[in-house]
Amino acid sequence: MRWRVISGLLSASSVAAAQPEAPCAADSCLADPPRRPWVLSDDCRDTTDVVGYQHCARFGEWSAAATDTQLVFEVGLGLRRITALRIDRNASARTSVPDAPGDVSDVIATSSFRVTGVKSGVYAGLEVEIGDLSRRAYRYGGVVQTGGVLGVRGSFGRLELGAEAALAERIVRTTDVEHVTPPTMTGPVIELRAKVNVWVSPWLTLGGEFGAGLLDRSEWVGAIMFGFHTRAFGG
Amino acid sequence: MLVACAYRAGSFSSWQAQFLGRNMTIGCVDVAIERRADQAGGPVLAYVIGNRCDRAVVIDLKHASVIAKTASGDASTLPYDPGREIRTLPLDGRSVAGEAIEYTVASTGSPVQAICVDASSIVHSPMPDWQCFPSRTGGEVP
Repeated sequence: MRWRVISGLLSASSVAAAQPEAPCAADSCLADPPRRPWVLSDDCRDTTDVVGYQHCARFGEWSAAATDTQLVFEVGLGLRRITALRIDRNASARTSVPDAPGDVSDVIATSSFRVTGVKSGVYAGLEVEIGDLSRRAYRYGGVVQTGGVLGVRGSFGRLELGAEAALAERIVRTTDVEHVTPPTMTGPVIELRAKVNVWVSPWLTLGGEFGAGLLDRSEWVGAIMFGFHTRAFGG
Repeated sequence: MLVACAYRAGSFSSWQAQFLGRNMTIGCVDVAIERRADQAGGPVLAYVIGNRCDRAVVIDLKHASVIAKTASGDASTLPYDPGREIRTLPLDGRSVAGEAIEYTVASTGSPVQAICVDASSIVHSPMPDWQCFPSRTGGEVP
């Protein structure tokens, strides 16, 4: 429904310039044309917005944001301390052995995207994070981490605080050989994170998160997150 | 842009809908009520409601108190709702709602002189705020 609203808004100006000429049913030929852009859509156009006479729109479409499941879309830029080479210890793709064999940790820049659904202060969702491991222990490399999050949050004025647990799978590829697809090395990741958001508009937050690994206590992650919420101030 | 999209308290202005007619503020909401041209079934009231608050508020157009003034006294009304769509719903914070509802007037044998609505009943406010809209043409409403 929300997308139809947006579609209607996008087409509202053109619709206003060229009112629909299609003949209307006797019960819908009213003196007052619809005045709300959200009753307009490309495939169905009402000639009235009076309840009971409109055929495309329904009463209460304006309530969708407050009644539909609240969704939060977030993008983030962060830093992650990763012991990627622990996973790589037995990999055959290594063509040159680092000077200091064993676990090699590094702090890498990451980008992340996540979508969560919120109900009664509890949220759950999916996230994906990518990072660049090139020009570190190996010449080329990357990491992709995908998984789910489960957390709780609460608002305190314009501040929102939250805590969450993340369960993910990390995929690491590293090699020194150009134009050769390195083998995939995977491993589980469990993290606990704390989040802080500040509402910069009724639907936008700017915040940060910090977390630490449970399976590998030396790992941590910190990120700046930009979020879009479908419900004003988190409802 | 999303900042600009939020309804601003007291502005009676929104990109989503025009606040036409009589403006009033009741608690968390700014309300504009306009009487449209009567339809065959009765008078039509158009509501545009802006939520001034950050949190959702309940909008109850189903149970809004609406009466018709006639020469022989007040007459009760019922919203025309053949599809049983009208119900009490929450309006998200800093958002705008709009509906137009036709009211069927109980027959009194007298023409409707005005249609009156207690605007505060839309948001269940305890302080009545009756707004009356005289008939445009003085025409009869069955």
